[in-house]
Amino acid sequence: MSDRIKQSLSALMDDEAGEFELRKTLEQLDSTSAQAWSRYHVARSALKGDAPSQPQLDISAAVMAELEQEPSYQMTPQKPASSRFQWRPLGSVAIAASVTMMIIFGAQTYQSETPMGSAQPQIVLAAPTPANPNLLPAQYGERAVVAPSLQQADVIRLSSSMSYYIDQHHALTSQRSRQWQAGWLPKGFKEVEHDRLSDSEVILYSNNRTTISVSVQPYTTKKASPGTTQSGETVAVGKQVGDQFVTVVGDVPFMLADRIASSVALRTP
Amino acid sequence: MSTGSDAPTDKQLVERVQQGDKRAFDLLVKKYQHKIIGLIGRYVYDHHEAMDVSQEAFIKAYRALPNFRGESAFYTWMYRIAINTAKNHLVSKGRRPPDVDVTVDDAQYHDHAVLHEIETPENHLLKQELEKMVYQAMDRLPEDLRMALTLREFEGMSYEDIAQVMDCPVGTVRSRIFRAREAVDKVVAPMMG
Repeated sequence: MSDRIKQSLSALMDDEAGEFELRKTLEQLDSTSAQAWSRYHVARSALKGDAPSQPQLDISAAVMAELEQEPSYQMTPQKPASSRFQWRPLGSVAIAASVTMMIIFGAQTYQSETPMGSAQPQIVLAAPTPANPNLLPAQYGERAVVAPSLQQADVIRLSSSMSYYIDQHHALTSQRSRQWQAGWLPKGFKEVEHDRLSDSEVILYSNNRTTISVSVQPYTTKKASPGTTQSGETVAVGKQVGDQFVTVVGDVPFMLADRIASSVALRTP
Repeated sequence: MSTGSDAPTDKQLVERVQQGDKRAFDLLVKKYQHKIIGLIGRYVYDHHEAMDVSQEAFIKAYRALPNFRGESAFYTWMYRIAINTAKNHLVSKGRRPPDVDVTVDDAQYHDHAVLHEIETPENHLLKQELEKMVYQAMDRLPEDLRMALTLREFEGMSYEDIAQVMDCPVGTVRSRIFRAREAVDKVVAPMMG
């Protein structure tokens, strides 16, 4: 265990460890490994002719003991620069919220206004309430006038699962372009396929022997928690990159999958 | 030592501290403590005093970390805090801080003409001995380990570039560099107590 942590620390001091690996390393860090980290840096300085004159000095324990009384910070990570893609989750949420509001409104109306045993309820489509009041509901053609007397009638209930298809529709009609790419790939890998699902963009990379899939979706719509898993030779890494959830799956070492995931970024024009 | 604005590991560690992980700060302290003690030692000549002031500087840095936005490298920022802490310490003791400051570069390469680190003959010998032993340990490494570590430490090459030069997978480079460091560590560890 200690050797694995120390190997991660060795990679970390070379700026070769991803965020996920750093987090895992910190979780498993013990005093033996932490001391090794300190000595690796002293050795590095010595190699460059800049060894400390008193390498045996160590104030870290005293500093950390003092900091035990200090609060831990809980700052949220900074988000990357804004992009068109970042608004998509908000759009999806707004639509989902509108559909939900319509259902709730309909249910309340039905319960409060429809007398028990009333026959042949009248039907009207209730306008969805936009989640964002600054957004006006769009419509085609002439504005429909709904008689006040009809507004208290029954509502057509949409299945909440339909919001999935609404999202899919928006994804297919407005977001055909490729937006994401892996910024780093192992030697010999190249993009062989690109596709868009309702809420994610999937890119396949291959070197003719191994295929790696990279999926990018808004973090709010992720289907799994960040982490890693392995099934046989296949490794899956899921991690947060900015406000996106990136998964990398393939028959590659975990370290490579993690590095690919960390490198995912918006395509440059 | 990677201390410039291109030190992604420092940035990662700072972000982890800002997100509540104090262990990341421990790694930053362990990484920079010798440089900071050496830097403060040029202002505060007493050895024990220099250690106390260094400790105070790191604590100040931790407290100021929420305001650190990464416009400069962590070490540059830490260096400023260390210098100010040392000067304030001298003033509080009724001593006059030196007119000349140590620059970041001077702090990295100990050759400033005006401010001298407290370096006893024994310390100087220890430093020379350490460097000599590390070089000897490097010489004793198997060729593949020595080459991987040399390309990394002296050429500053990335693992990917080293993998291309040595015609091996990146994972092998990572493992070779680690094994090389472990071998060198066998001579460093006894000297660090």
